[in-house]
Amino acid sequence: MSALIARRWLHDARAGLLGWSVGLAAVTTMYLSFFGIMDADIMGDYMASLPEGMVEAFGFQDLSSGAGYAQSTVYGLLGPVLLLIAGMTRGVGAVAGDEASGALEVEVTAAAERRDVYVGRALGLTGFVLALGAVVALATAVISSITGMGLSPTHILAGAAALTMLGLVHAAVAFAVGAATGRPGVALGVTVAVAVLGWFAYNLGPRLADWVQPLSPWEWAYGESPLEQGVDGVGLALLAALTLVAFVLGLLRFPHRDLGV
Amino acid sequence: MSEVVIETEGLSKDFGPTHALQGLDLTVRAGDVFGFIGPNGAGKSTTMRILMDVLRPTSGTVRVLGTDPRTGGGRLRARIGYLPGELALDGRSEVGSWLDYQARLHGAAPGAWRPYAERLGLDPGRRIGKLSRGNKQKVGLARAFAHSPELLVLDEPTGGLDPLMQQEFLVMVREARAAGQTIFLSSHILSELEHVAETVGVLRQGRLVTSAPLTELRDRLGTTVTVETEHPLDPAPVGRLEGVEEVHADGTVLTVDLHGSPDALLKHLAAHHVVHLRAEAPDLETSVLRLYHDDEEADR
Repeated sequence: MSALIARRWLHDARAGLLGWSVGLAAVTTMYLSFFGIMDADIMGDYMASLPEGMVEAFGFQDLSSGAGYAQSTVYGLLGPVLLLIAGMTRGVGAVAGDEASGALEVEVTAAAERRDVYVGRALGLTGFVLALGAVVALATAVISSITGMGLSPTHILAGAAALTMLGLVHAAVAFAVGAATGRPGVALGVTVAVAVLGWFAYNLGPRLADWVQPLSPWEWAYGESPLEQGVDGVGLALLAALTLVAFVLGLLRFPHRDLGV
Repeated sequence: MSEVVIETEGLSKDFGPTHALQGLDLTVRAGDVFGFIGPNGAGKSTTMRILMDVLRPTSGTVRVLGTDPRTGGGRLRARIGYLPGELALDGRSEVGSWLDYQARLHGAAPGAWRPYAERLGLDPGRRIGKLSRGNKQKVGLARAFAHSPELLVLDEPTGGLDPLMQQEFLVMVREARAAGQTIFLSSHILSELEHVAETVGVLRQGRLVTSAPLTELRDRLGTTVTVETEHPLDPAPVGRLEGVEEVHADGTVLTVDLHGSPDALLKHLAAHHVVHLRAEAPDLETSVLRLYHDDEEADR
């Protein structure tokens, strides 16, 4: 039953999936294409000219290496921004949004259990985010081979996995808070707060206290520079664990509350 | 006595400070067409949504087809066809593909909805988002009827349907009734239920004012007799006659609300020169409205 609901949810989301895929592919292709064109020395000089605080705050890395450039542009900045927006809005919409519009009522009053509806939609959302992550990975692989960025397939996979899981964590939080409360505004607010706080904790945390940065999902994703160093199993496991915890907490509440009130 | 399909005892539902249902005792028997009538906000939709386990009661008990909706889950809902009062459908889907999906969700064969869509004149190829309110309602009706459920719970089913389709809907309800299905439907307009319901439950402010077979309700409402005589009649002695509930005099025209036999009234009138006499069943709509009203007076 969950599989049927997941398939249907993805079927209904296919137009959005296509749109976000095109957008992410375009951004990845466009930014990474500049790498081959730019003079490495000029980039190095440019980086050196930036105030140190700014480099830190934006998470810029060495722009002269392929991995550093990809991380500074697509993986650390625009990619997460787009993927988080896509995942959050879909995550909020999947239960809380459909509940507010009334469209959820025709599914929960069918011969499906509430938990099937929840799990089915959670699986659909997961598939949605994974598909977008795969688009970024694919576009990176294509451009890397053309421009000679020197990114190995395993490193691309490692970077894309980190990006995807970062998107999925936020999608799951949006989904779960929405399913637990039925309030799209609350779900979106909480998730945006998690994203923004996580971003600051990752980039500026070390200036505040030692314990701040390790709490950030951004640190779990990018702390070990996966594009450069390869798969960071611990980081991915932490992201997967938080995703699972969010989904489970939402599932504990959703079947037991009034819908659409 | 036939089997009880829906039974609520002392059913209450609060939304914060609002008491939507206040101790509702409702019984719907197998094979009945039960019309649930009441003004907007009386608690009709709330009751139906509790039956479908969308909402959970604050107190009281509910049994649908012998099971508590809270524990019956999907297996129970497979035996029910539900039309929500505020039907919201995903506009991106095509009618046919969505109804196929819903049939699968209800454990029915895909395409089970086709005969109903055809009868209601629904084009399966159209996108739901492009449909008018009436056509969306037809999608909702096809969904509710498709899996031939034992119980149909229809919240304001005729809303948005044109008169021709309302007729078709009545035929569908009669057929369902003939096939042994139980129909529990609501409306805030009695005339919509008059042609289809066998039993009527009147709901007001979360309480059942009355629940009775429609014929019994009609009998209870009696007859209105209008008499025109050559000379004005004194209403006082008429009011004391057996069976007369109320008398209203306007010149030579006397309007009498009669319950039971008209014998005493006719014998009294025989002594006078009657120019014109008309007896009719009172309009059910106004009478039921009066029922709400009486109840309101009793509250004070």
